[in-house]
Amino acid sequence: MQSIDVINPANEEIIGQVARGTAEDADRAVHDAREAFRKWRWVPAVEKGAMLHAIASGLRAKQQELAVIMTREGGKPFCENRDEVEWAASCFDYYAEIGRNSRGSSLPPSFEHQVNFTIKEPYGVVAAIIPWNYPLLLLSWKVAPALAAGNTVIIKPSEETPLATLTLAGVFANLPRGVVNIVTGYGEEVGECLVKHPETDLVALTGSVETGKRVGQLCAEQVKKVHLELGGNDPFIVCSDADLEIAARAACWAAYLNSGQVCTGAKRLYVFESIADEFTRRVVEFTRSLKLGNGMEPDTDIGPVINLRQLEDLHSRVEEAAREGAHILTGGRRAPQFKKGFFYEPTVMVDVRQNTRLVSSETFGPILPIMRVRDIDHAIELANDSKYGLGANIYTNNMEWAMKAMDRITAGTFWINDPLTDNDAGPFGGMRQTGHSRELGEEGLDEFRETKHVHLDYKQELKPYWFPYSKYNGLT
Amino acid sequence: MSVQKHYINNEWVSSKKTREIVNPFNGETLAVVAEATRNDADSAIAAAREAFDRGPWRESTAQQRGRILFAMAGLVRKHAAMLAELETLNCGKPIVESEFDVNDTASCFEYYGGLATKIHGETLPVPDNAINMTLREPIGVAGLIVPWNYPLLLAAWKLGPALAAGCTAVLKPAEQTPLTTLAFARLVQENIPDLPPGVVNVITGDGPAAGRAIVESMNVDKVAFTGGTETGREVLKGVANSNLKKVSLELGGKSPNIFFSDADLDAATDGALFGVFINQGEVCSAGSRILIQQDLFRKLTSRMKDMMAKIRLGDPMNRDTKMGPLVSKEHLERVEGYIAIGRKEAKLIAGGRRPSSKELKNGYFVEPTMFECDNKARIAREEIFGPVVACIPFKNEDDALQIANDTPYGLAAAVWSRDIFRCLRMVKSLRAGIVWVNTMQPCYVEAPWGGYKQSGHGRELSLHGVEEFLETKQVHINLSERPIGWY
Repeated sequence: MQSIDVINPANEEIIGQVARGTAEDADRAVHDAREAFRKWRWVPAVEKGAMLHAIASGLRAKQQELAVIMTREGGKPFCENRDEVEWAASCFDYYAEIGRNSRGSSLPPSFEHQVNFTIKEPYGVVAAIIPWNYPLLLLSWKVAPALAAGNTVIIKPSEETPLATLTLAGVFANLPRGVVNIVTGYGEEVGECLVKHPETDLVALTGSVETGKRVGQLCAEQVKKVHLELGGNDPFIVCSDADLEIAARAACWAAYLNSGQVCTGAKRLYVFESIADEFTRRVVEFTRSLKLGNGMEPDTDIGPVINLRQLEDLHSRVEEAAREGAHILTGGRRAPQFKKGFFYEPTVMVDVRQNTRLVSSETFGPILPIMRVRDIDHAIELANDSKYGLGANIYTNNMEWAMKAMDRITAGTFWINDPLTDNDAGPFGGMRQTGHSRELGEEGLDEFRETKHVHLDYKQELKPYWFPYSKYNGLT
Repeated sequence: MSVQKHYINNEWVSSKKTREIVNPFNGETLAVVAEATRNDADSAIAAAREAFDRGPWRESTAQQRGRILFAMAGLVRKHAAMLAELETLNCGKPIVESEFDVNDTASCFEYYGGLATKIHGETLPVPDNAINMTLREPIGVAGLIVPWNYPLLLAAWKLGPALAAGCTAVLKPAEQTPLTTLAFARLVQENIPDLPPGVVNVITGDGPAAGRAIVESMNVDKVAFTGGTETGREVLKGVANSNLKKVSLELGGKSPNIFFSDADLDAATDGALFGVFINQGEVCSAGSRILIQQDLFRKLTSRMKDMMAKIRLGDPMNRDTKMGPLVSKEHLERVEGYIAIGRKEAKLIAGGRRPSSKELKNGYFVEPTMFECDNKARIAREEIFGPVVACIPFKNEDDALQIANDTPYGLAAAVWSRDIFRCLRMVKSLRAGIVWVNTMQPCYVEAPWGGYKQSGHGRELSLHGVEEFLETKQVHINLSERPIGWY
């Protein structure tokens, strides 16, 4: 059996090996999930709920262990990973009982002697394809509602970060056999097999726009249901009335969190001209105070990026922007003090052109480009100049500006004065090329349920609108 | 003058007693209507009962009920000019306001016409081999008791959702202002033949006889009442002492309209006056306590005073009139009683008298009146329901909140400030069913309306409004044919 090395991006050491999944592996997982679905779908919601709560407890019990593994395989600071485990547990708790509340609605019938209602049903076997930046959180957003709705699941973690996910096997052990399956490997190999497999009913992917398009095309051939949560290029507007110290700190956190490898990271700063100099000064000063390092060290603010390819892509974008006239105020290079590891200095840039690749497409790294805007209308115009529509942020106390931006900016989440926070009850997802669907909340459950309309007539009668039409006078 | 009769079972039914209906602008008799006795009320209730229990209405579909409500809306729109004029003649509100009310009446029927087919129950996942669902069914016979300040509009607020839900109705307009409701009944009788007899009944009469008969009836399943808080208390007692019918109450208010010193002064002046003087202040949600931050107090009250002098009192049929007479002589005396109290316990800033002009001398007019006081004054605690406002200064946000919530009522509140955080903090802490930010009084049929505390029970308008006329039936269908084997 072939294997894949898992590398610690902070020191480039091999920390584990996982199976390089094949078509046969995918086929076997699908078969097991399909078998398990026959019974799982009929397990009462309340019993499913108890099992999902047990998963949440299992996650919490392994919080330290999981956070260490996640820090080593993904690079982000330990405290972020520890929080991520709790967020994932909270998501399982949230969905544990939501399935109990409703399985559809009853409707007003067209005739008095009829009863109409809908029942929600699971799709069947769900393939959940998870990215490396939040391996457990984004897993929970798919797996928890999918299971609550009665589906069985095959998880395909990223080849970069499979270790924490495999550790979850123990946490999922209380579920009936085959309800949750994990296969590791490359997207082109095992991922595509799951997508194309005639026995998977739904594919839920979080990943890049390119991968999303490929998966979407493959699903379209089978008219298979697909959820795509793809890239983001979120704007972050700072108005003239904002508290500049708070806004500067917020912007740094939103841009550098997880080394900027967050789909909802702040990627484009639009700052009112009147305060741009002062805001920039504070951002630069604060950025310089941040500690880059191994995520296992307690004072590390920013860890490495995931791999060399990301680091090189990032740097080429920064250089390209600089060639086109942008000025780098701090950062802008691979951190020279590290002999090993993929560390990139948090970077503040000004005079950045809106159409440079760093700004016009998603840049996954600790980069904070500041663009000046004249007023709120200008900020909104530039914020909307994107093919993405995941999130958007604004810092202001001005209700008119905040509400105007809220209404006019195309984005699935709009944060006012508090960037990048999630709420299990609040739907998350994007507009435009960011994606198709919503995760979390009740919408997030409905994405994993089909609707069946039941029409029942308790009066068996010959209907006047049946044949022969010679006796039919039309609707009265 | 011929007597306008009760509308029962799609027929006009006379009463032993009658009442003269007065135009509050000149004190002249506008019409004579039947005055319901207990027997009249009982026969209307019996008609509604029969229609609900055995009539074709119980087999009507949501689509059919929706079409009837759309037809009602169409009639109101077609006869809008007549209805608006009649409303103004009867209750004294300026004609322009009546026109708005009539348009809103039609919108309300349209909204519930559309909503009829969107009333859903649920299917529920129970841990057994079974289908479990809820069906939404009409409560039954609904008694709808409507006040005199928005006679036709508030009738629609109740009749629209009651009919959408599939209830039958006994509608009782206020004894002072029955004319538009009777005109509406005539239009329905003549133009909507699909509406079965007994579904909509109208009786005219007062609270002690007709209202009490509805409230205490053993054959009415639900009473929806809008009126004063003391009467609401009587309604609850009547309900408790009879058949425990379901009840919704829209009662009084003493709603705070709160101005922080960063509020836009022009908009604030406008909003403060509109909030309390629209419809002569005869509005349940009137902003009758104006809370003003200290450093804005003089500036805002003096602006308001200047602008109040320009509020034109006059013949409500005149399109330039901004304030008409109060609804009745009794009500005028009650409002003047509060002004007298205010003169003793508070500082009068503006108004306080009957207008002196000859044109207005036969009408029940009183000037828009403004007092400065603290929140302990009676004029700040009791609902006056007229053009009398208590202006109360406050120091800071905590102070404003404390004053605003220090009332037995909780219908509405408004906050004016350009600080979004402050507005939202206030929104979350105000104990009121409706909170406006930087505006006061807009009301939409799509959004719920009703009060906290002693301002009422339940909500009107929106989906919440129709809930008040629906029962929920849980249906559990066991799919296992085996005996449970308990014995």
